[in-house]
Parts: sequence; C-alpha cells; structure tokens
Amino acid sequence: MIQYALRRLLQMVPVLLGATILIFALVFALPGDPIQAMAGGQRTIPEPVAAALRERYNLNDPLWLQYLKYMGGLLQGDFGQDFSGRAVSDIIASSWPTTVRLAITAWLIEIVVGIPLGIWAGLRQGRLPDALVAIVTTLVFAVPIFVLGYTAQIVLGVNLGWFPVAGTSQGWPTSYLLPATILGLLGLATTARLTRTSLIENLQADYVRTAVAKGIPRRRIIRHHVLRNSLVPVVTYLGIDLGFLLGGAVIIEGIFNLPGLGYEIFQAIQQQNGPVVVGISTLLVAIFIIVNLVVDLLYGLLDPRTRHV
Amino acid sequence: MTTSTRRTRAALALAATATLLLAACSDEGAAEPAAEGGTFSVASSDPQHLTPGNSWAAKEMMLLFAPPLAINDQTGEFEPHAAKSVTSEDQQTWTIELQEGWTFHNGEPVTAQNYADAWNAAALGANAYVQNNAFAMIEGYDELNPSEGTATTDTLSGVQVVDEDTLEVTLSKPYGLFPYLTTNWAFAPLPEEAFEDPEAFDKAPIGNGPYAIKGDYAVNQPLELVRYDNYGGEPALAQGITFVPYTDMGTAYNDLLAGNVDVVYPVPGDRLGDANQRLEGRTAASSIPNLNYFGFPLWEDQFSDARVRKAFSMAIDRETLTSSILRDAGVPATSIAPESAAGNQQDACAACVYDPEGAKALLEEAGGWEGDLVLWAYQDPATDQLLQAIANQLRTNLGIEEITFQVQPWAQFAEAVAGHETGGPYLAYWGAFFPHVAAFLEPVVSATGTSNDNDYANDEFNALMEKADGLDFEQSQAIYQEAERLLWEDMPIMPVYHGLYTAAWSERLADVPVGLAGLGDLTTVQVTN
Repeated sequence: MIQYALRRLLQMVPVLLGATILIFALVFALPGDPIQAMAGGQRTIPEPVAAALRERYNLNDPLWLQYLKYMGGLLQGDFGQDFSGRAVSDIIASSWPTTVRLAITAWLIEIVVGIPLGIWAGLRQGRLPDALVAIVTTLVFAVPIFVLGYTAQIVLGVNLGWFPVAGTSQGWPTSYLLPATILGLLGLATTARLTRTSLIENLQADYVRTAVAKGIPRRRIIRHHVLRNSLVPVVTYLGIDLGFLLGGAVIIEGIFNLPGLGYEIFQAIQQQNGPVVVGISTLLVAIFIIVNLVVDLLYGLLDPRTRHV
Repeated sequence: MTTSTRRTRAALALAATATLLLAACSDEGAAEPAAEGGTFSVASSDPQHLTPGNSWAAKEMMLLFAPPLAINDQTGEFEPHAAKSVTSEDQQTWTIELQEGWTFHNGEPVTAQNYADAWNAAALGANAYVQNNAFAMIEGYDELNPSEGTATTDTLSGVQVVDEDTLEVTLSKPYGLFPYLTTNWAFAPLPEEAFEDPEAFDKAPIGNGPYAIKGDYAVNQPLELVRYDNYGGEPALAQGITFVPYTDMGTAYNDLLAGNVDVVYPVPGDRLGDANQRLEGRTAASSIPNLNYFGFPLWEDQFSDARVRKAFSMAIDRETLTSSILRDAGVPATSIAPESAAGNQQDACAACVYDPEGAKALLEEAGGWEGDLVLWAYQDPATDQLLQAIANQLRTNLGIEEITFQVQPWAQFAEAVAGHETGGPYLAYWGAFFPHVAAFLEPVVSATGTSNDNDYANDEFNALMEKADGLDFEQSQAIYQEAERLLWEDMPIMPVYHGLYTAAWSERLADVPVGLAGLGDLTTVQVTN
C-alpha cells in the first residue's frame, strides 16, 4: 500500500509538469500586453514603467525561458510576484482558508444530506419518497447556480435576515452556511441519485438473495452488506467532487463575497495577471491529484477486492 | 426533542422582542451623534498597494495621506490642504509653502524633505510605480526615466528643498494648472521609514492624513482605519472607517440592504431603480468628470474627411441613449467636458447635436459611404446594448447597411487601438484627474496626450494648448476654450455621454458627501446611533 501510494505520488511529477506547461503557455501566449491589461481600461501605464515591469517579470524573454525561470522559482517554493508586485504566495495564503472552509462545509452537507436522501429514496423505490427526491433533484439540476445563489441571498439574507448576506465577518460556520448549501446542492443531488441507483442495484444482487435465504434480518443485510457495497461509486464521486469544490467556486465566492481561490483566480484572469493564474492553477492540480489518491486508498476499506498490496 | 424545539422558539421570540425594544429605544435618539464619533464601513475593491505613488486606491489614500492641495468637492476649486499655498510668477517655477506643525502617524514632524523623497521615488522609472507619469512635467523626469539603459541619478533636478517648510519645483515648461496636479495623493510626503523597508511600508503605511491604518493590509481582507488625533488639518468626525473589499457591487448593495455595510459606491446600474425607491434620500449621483467617446480611425480613408466624422456624430441621438439604454446613468455629451468641469462649454460642438437629416446630407456631400463599418469596443457587459443602439441609429440615419462589432478583452483591444489596427471607430473612456476642461483636452487630443490614440495632430490646436499652459489659471481658460472650439472643426473623436455614478448609504450615516470626486471627503461623515 505504501509502495502504491509512493508510485502514485511519483506519477504526480509528469502530470504537474504537463499541467504547468499547458497553463503557462495558455496564459502567457495570450495576445495583448499583460502590463497594459493591468491598467484595466482607464489608465495608461507610462512606457518607462512598462519597460521596467517587463524587465522585472522576464516578459522580454522567449516563452520557454520564462517558463524555466518560473519553474526554478517554484521548485524553491517561490510562487513569484504578480504584475502589481504582490507575492503570489501571500495571495494564496490569504485566500485558501476561505476556500477550504467553504469546500469542506459544502462537502459535508452533500454527505450528511445527500446519502440519507438517496437511501430513503432507494429503499422506497417507486413510492412517494422516491418520486419526491427525483423531482427535487431534477429541479436542482435545472436551475443555474447563480440564480439559486442570488435568490437565496435576497430572500434568506436580505428579506428574512436568517443568514449573513455576504462576506466572512461572522466566521465559520455562520458566514459559510448559505453559500456552502448553494454550492453543495448540485453535488448533493448527484450524491442522492447515485446512492439510490447503486442501492437498488445491490438490493437485487445475488449475495443479497443468498443472505435473505440464510434468514439474516433485512435490517442487518442492508446495514452490513448492501450499504457498504453501494457506497463504492458514491465515494468515488465524492472524492472527485471534493477536488472540484476545492478548485474554487468562482460564481458562489463572487456572489457571497468570499475571498477564496476562485475569487482570486477570476480577478486574475480578468486582469490577465498570469503569475496568479498559473500559481493557483498549479496548486489546484496538485490538490486534485492528492484528493484522488486518498479516495483510491479509501476504496480498499470499503471493498477489499480493490485493496492495493 | 419537542420541548427543546419549543424552548428554542421561545428564546428566539424573546430575542426578537428584545431587538424590537432596542430598536424602539434607539429610534428616539436617532439624530444623536455616536459617542466618540462611531465607526462605519465602505464597500471597496482591493487596493493592492498602499504606497501613494504606486496606488490608485483614491478613497483609502486620501484618508491615510494628505497631498499639498485638495479639490473642493462641490466647487471644483483647489484649496489648501497639507500646504498653505502653491504659487508661481511665471507658471514654471512653483513655490510650495507647507502648513506648520503637521506630523506623521508615528509622531515625526513632516518636512519638505519628506515630500521631495516621496516624489523622487515615484518618478524613478526603475521603481515601476503606477503613478510615475504624474511627475512627467517636473524638470529632471527624463533623466530618471531614460529610454535606454539605467538612470544615473535618483533625484528630480526640478525639486529643491528651500527650508523645512518650503519646496521649489521647476517644471520643464510652463504649466499654469500645476496646483491641480498637487491634489493627487502621489504628491503626499513619505516618512524615512518608508525607504527602510518599502515592502513592509506598503502593507502598513505611515501617512500624514486624518486616519491611520490599524494593523497590516492583507489581500482582499477588510482594511481598518482609525482617526489620527494629532492630524494637522480639520479633525475627522468618525472614529474609524473600515473598507470592505467586494468583487461585485451588486453583492455590496445587498449587504447594504441587510445593514452590513454603510456606503456603496457606485451602485450597479440594474439596482439604481431599487435603490432610489428603497433608500429614500440616501442616494446621490456624483458629478465625477469623465467622458465616454468614440475615437475615429484617422488613418482610414473612409474617415479622412471631417464631414464624414461630423455626419456620424450628428446621426447619434444621445438623449435616447442615456434615457433608455443607460437609464439615466449618464448625461448626453455635447462637448469634451461635463458641466462639472471648469471651462466647459456645452455648446462648443455643433456636430454633437442630433440632426439626422443634416447628417445624411453631410455624408452625401462628402461622397457618401462605401463598404461596411466595424465598431470596436472592449468587453464590458454595460457597453453591449449601447453598441447595438448606436449601430441601429447609424443604420437608420446614415443608411450604412453592414455594421459589425469587434469586442475584445481590454489588453487585446488596447493593443489594436495603439497599433492603429482598428478599421472603424473605437469606444474609449477618459476619467479626468481634475475637474477642468484642460484635463480632457491635454490627454485625449493634444500632441502630448497619453490617450491620444488616433494621433490627432493639428498644429494650430497644439499651439493654442501650449499658449494656454503658459498662462495663469484665470487667463488660460479662454484659450483652452478656443482650442476646444477648434477641435470640433476637425472632430477627431465623437463624445457620447458623461457617466453618472450613484452612491447609497445606510441609515446610520447622517450625510455622505457626493460630488466631483465621486465619494467626497469621508472625514465629514457623521455616524448616528
């Protein structure tokens, strides 16, 4: 198992390398002068200043040399400076706690609400609870997330005053509950549906029939055999979804004014602030790979057949 | 379970009643100023940098720092601030007399040398400060910003410290409006500490302004300011001001409705109706001087005739654009500067008046229109409808059938404009640095203008500008106005509208000054309880 984990970690190296090359090339090969983009449409940056900035950020070098210089810094843990001279590591340091809090809260809501909902529907296949869950999840899939976000903000935040409208001033969990719920809704609906389908499939499996024939009580069969097996695909999904959630929720962080990674990367893309985009993207790729590894290792606990020796 | 739920409900009901009672109590004393001045919050965007010469964060900067002069938010005139006066006999050598007894937030006295140090640092190209250009007129700027190689000096030869409280500034050529330039926070002094560790200073600046920073600045986190009690000027009313960064002003507005933030500026266009209705008297539109215009591609044959350019301008119904598309978030621009700018002449541009028949006749006279038309603009959701409407008016009034759009991200758009690759008129914006017609004419259409993107050049116009620059404030106005009238005979740009931005505030604030600077002097805001 340790060997397997190590091998997977080694595989990260080419993936990360490829990802950074791709992102770097895409961001820095964009037409338009990033130094002027920084000025944002209202002010012109005087030429001597622009020249000094180009020099400082190696923008006069060919792209491959720029990349090598950037990677050289990155290997020493230096994310570089953005085009306005702020350390990218500062930006990441101040924004990741917000994103982690938001992602974990949304993820917990997905698990705590989504799985029981799926089980409830699955065990009552074709009856009212099943239909109810189907209708609600379809609705969630159909309505765009920003509509849900703005509506919830105005109704639950402004008009009813049940939740803070925006910002993180009231700390965790109060400030995060509403945005995390909206953010988690889509994953929650998927989790519920996946759990339901998987449960129904497993209920019809041979081993269940055998267990019933042996006279084991239904409650025990479901709890010890069916649930555990049904959760394998759900865990896969939840793992990937955690990666997505940590990838920054651009829309939700924007609507609820949560200064997380998504919010920063969105601003950086608008301002063509390459160093920030590359830095945060690289970090996200790494997070995604690690989360996936953890999920793969977790499989073994649920299903001994997939255990890595 | 049921009991505990009931208990919670009872507790909530009690809390609600208590809140109502509290609210009732505080209502009676609504007009009372808060003890110690109270604190309030302002929705902002992340300032990025807090060193004056390297920052565009106007509101924060004008509270942390005090430049020599200030612009009166209502009259638009400059008036003493950290300096008693900025005067000159010949408009080229300027004497700045500082107020006595002013101190930095760390208690050190402010001296003339502190000003010179700050200006030298900002003007040095190698420092790459965003406001570097603000010092371009001072003698010695070119030596600090050589086009090749590195600078051999790090001080502006045109800045001399005469004594503790006096500076002498020599410009590379006469400029009668120089006092306006010293209202920019980039002209504020910096203490010695600023140069010991510039990075640390950028996060926790020590200024000479009415408020001092509390703690360090962190990216996208609220910025807290506290009143500086030994401030040399008129003391501020509120004890503290917090700037809360928002990426979306729609969210900030929702937060204002919920009572979590006290001032929002600007209110987004689609919420203006809601704001005026809900906030009853707690909104105001600013008169911040700006111009949204189209630049004509003077290098294209299609636009080489001034009559064609005038015909375009006469075919635009600006009243309809501002009332129906912008929903009154702008006023029609019938000259280069809005009414809030000194020296403006609303009737200077005859071809800025809607006249569809005249437009068509003028276009015919110039030989008619051939080929298609491309309108260029930068990506901005607000301009989309505007472009469509303008295209429709040109189609209807001038009979130009084929009109398409080139809408690009800012960087690409700016590059295309600078490289003269735009084959059609391009949308542009200019926000004037001070409320004067020259603050539009010089940058947008003169030979030295940083935003003169279509390289408009008219020797007569430039001679008038130079003549006006050499005169004092009163005398120069008529000459600048003459230059503007001459400009409209050539029509190198087409004014469309002057944008209006609205501020909204909470019930906790007695009055929020809104005027020429957008949000005005926040030291005069009174917090009530």
